[in-house]
Amino acid sequence: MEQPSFTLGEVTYTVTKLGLRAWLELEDANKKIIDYMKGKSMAEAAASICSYLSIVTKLDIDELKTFFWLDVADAYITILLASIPTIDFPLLKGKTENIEPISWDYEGRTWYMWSHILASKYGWTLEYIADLYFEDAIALIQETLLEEQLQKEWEWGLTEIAYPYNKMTKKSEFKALPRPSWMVGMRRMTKPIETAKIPVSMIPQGIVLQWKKNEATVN
Amino acid sequence: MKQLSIEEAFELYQVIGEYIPDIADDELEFIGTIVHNIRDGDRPRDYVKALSILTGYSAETITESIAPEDSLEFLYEGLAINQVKSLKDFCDRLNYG
Repeated sequence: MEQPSFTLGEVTYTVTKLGLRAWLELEDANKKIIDYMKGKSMAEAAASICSYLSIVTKLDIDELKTFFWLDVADAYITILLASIPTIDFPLLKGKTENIEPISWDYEGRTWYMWSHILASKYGWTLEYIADLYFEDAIALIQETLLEEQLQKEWEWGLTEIAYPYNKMTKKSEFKALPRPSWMVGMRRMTKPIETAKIPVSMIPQGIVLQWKKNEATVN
Repeated sequence: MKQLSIEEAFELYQVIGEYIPDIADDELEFIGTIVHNIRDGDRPRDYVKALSILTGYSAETITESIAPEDSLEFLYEGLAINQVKSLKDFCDRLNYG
């Protein structure tokens, strides 16, 4: 497939496969552009578009401000289209509006949060993660988060707190562990883990000996 | 007449935005309607400001040194060179306002 490209001045730029870090920077820059446009802050919007282009072209923002607006717009649209994931990731569909601000948040945190997830899981360096094709990175992050969540749900189901007593029905009822917004709507384990009393005859009797690692026999 | 940078194009859009028609069959009709709306509007400053952005001349130069018929030609030409219909589409795409 032909790589998307655009021309600024005399130079033609080809948009190659975007790495995770560049993609996240583009996403952040694009949010600013949209916000400024909505607020009719046109000077800031123009500067943000140049900032957006500089991520890919590595050109200085002041230099980008000298090009014909139509070429700049064409470049912006080309990069924008190249940065849309071809896979419909549920992770990217999480709730983004009306979220309470958190005190530990800061600008550009998504990169650190996501690179932390991948580095913790796979032991990769930040440089390697930064250059990882963004769709691969998103898919791996989603799998990691999904695995963690399902593990938590399993552990939650084994605790007493998952079965609060309902005074109305006079029974303990299973209360599912809340899921992150991007997982809401996915099929979940609706039934609690079934428990049964173990007959006394089936419980081990006497002293229980445990095998220790690196020992040939049970002591 | 100059090709505008993205900053200048957005500045122009802020000035002419309210004079832009919702529907136009072609670029020529589109530009004609904008010019007609600015001229018939009650803010001559917008006319001068748009011309100033498109030509790079100061407002004083435009009002004192350019004949009205020439200024009208400049406005048509400037809006055409800078493909103002595409500018509207671009701003719409970015959810302007």
